[in-house]
Amino acid sequence: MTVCWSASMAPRPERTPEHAGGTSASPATPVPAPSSRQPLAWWGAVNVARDGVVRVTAGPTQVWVERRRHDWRVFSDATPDPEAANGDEAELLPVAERPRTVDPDDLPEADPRVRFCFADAPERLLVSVAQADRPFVVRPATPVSVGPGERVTLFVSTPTWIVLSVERVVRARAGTRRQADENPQPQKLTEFPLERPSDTWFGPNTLMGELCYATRTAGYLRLDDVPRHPHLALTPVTIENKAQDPLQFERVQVPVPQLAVYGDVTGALWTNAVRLTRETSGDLASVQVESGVPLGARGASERLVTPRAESAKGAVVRAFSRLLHFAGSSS
Amino acid sequence: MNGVEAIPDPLVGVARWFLDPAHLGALFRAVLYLALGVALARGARYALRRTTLTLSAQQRQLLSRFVYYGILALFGISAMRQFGFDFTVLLGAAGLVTVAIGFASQTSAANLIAGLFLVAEKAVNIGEIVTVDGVTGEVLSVDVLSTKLRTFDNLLVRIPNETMVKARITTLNRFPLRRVDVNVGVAYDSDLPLVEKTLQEVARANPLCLDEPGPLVIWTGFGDSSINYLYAVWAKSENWLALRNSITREVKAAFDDAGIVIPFPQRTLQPGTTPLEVRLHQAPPEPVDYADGAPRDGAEPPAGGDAGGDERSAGAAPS
Repeated sequence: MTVCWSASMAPRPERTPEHAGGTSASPATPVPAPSSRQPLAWWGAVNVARDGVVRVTAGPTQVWVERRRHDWRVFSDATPDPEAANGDEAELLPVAERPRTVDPDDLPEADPRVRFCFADAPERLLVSVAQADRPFVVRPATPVSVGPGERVTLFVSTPTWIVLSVERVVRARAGTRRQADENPQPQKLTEFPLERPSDTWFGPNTLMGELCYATRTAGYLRLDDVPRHPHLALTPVTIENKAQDPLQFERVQVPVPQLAVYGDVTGALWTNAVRLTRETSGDLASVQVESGVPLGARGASERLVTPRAESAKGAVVRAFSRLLHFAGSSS
Repeated sequence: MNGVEAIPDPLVGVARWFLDPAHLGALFRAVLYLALGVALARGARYALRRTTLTLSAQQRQLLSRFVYYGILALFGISAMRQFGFDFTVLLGAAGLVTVAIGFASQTSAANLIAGLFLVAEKAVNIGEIVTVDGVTGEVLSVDVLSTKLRTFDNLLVRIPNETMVKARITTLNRFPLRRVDVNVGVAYDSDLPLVEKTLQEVARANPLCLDEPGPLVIWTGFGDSSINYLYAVWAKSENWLALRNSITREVKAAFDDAGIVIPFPQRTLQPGTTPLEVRLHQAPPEPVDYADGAPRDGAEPPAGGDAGGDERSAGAAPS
């Protein structure tokens, strides 16, 4: 694991003051001594000099962000090898080399590769976390059965999104008061998944349902067994079966957009815990998003991002599913 | 002959009529009615488009057109009445006119009524991709008489509504999911479990391919040269084309990696009775005319006396 200094978004530290100012000199200064405080963290804020390059490494994905005079350029190199998806490196640092960023023809087939143009490119790059924009359908490696009256907690890891924003650095002159309108708001450049999950459908048939992302899990019941990766957020999903019959399911839906994302003291990402309560037989369950930092997060955790969507309190939704079988699908 | 005499009498009459102070007021009122009608019609159309969001696009379009042209017609009639037009005469003759128009415009009436049925049934919606009578395109509008499609090569196709009602319409993106069917053939000596496993892995690795409903690998028959499968994967409708292109490329690559051969039809020619004998011999030299001291067509004279062709390059001739 590459351990690098990193810092969370709030409070936002000035990580490389020597890069501030937008000068063209020393566009990629070596990084200060790394900190082992948050070895899994890859988010944060950094001032980037003109023609400077910042590399973000989060699990299987590396993203290069380059600041030019009039634009910000974003390059990504998502490793297509599924074995490499287990990468556990995490860092955010300016780099001296510009790996495959200068010559566009030299780039790997990566997506996105975009430019964001400005009259004068802002100096400060904000790298932050976001949760997925659709629910996740989690399929355990083997079908799961929860007996009547039982309650279990599955630990589910889902990919997170990286959000790139920029903002201008405003310095108040000595003896003057900074005006409110001088405080610029960050401008969001782009966001994309650090590991593109597969699409899937969650519903009783191909007409009714919801488009989701799919992920597979070994169905970990003990937190210590869960492998941690910097690009995955861990969600404790508590399933309580209050019905009289056993709950057997092959897939469970986790409402990820309704969850906030937290970073613990190691930089590991967490979301709110989710409680699915099955009152009667069937696939329906009431969904409750538990507020606050989930139990199990180490040390003082901070909320990195608020939920994308409002959670409907006490909503009863289809949360479990057996696999779809289509009688006419072979025609 | 002066200039006034040169003007035809009817025009002079119209000019005198308008120049009459009593008729100037009528002209002013008619223009006012028309301006008011246009303003009201536009305002009503704008308001309808903003307030009828629960209706489908073509229902909104039809309703707003009906209201727009209805208001214009009413105010137009009022404006004409200012000039003394009496529409009761027209109403009196309406029966005869209706019969005459009915006979003359059977096709238009049929299209009009078919258009109403199309809109009421919501058979097609604006923006959908449909196939009608072999024409595939995006629905631009469902008008009173016809439905207009824009094909993918950017042609405008006007289909009469009567045809739309009678034709079989296939809507390609009405539902959120769509299936990509790929016919795959593998060689007869292929490891069939490996084939199925490889196809499943390809689907699993492609993020556009839905995890559920899962991919289908269905044996469809023993072909002339291959064992045939139907490989069916699901995608979000918007991603259908991208998945169709990517999945075939990935299947080919995965088969190449796994050593699975996609055969193509081969024919073995055999002579009817005895094997065909093939013999190679030297080609005769090209005839060169040196009558004028130089070879024709720029041909070089043969070096040495031996004008021999390479035996390996000679053509084959049956014995």
